[in-house]
Amino acid sequence: MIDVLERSSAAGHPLQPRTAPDERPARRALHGQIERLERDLAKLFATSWPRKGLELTVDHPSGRPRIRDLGELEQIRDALAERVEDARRDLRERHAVEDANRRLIDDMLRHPEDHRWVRVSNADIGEPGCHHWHVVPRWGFIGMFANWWRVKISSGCPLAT
Amino acid sequence: MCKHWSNAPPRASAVGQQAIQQGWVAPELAAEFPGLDVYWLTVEARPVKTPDAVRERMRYLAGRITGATVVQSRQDTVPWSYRVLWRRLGVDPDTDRTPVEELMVQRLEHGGLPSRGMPIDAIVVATLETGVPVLVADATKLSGVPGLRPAAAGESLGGAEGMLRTGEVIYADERGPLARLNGEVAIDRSVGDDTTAMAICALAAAAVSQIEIDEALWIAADMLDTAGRLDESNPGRTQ
Repeated sequence: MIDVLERSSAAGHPLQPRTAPDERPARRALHGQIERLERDLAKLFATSWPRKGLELTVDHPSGRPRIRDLGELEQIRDALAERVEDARRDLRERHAVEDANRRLIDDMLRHPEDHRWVRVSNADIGEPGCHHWHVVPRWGFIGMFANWWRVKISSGCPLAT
Repeated sequence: MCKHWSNAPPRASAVGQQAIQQGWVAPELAAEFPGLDVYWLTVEARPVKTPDAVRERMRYLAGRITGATVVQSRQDTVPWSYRVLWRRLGVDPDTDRTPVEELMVQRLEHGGLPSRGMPIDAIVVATLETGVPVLVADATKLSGVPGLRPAAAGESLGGAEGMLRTGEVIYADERGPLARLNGEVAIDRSVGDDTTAMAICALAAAAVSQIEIDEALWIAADMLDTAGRLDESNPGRTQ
């Protein structure tokens, strides 16, 4: 063993690999991960519609199309993974708020007097459209003083002018 | 050196004498991106005014593309495949969109698909109908078979913004660079008033089936062929 090491040192290339590492398996794995993450992001994009304000763009600079080295592919994969994770978390939080708002609508319909003037829109429950539920008094001031409340459900979006 | 279609003969398209042929892909690209390919055909056509029937088709197509459609298209196999390809090539498809997504966003922004004459309208319809990126160049200025390769140092598409980065994946032929992947054709290869034949190229990506590529080429070829015939029978050529 020592003889071998001494011979290598004498040759000037101590323990130097004679072949370059094969990057192909690593590159294939990274391409596969990017594909899977892009699919996850596409699903999140479709699921999040019509909610607004969810950040789904990937924080990675766009460049000219070319074969990327391993480091760049890793950066793309990491940026995608981070965005997918953040978007999932944001969407989970939105779902929790929307569920609470749906329960609120149920309660508003059962006990409108407990939710005076409360207004919940379709956007608050993650639905498209301009529909909203609004707790208002019956017969204006009379209802206010008599504590007669009801939920007024809007008929939809205003007509385009 | 180049990957050629060896298993099957060129297939005749619906237009008649044209046949879809496979281009070539540089070995380093073919190894890195399995499924990446170029298919192309030529059609005798001149740049003409878009016929009314095509305008009507564009109106119908525009009516089918809504916000919900665009959102859903992210999950459709073909547009998604090109997003993945863009991403793997280091291009952010949200910043530099794939051709089909760019057209869909333009449709939403403008409220329709404005006609810009042939062959641009044929590209728009073929790309939107299939999701496959299609480009058209002057066939007489093509030298050999088109394919895909990384750009060499100093290569350009011509013009102020035509300079290519070394290693940038481009369409090319034996003479040199032909176009960028986003469909921007070299100035000296693009369709002009003197064009008499056009080469239609479609970019294939992994997970995109052959029938979708063929359909994109057939749609574009058929529209260019028909527009040319109509123009001959009713002259009044405008770009």
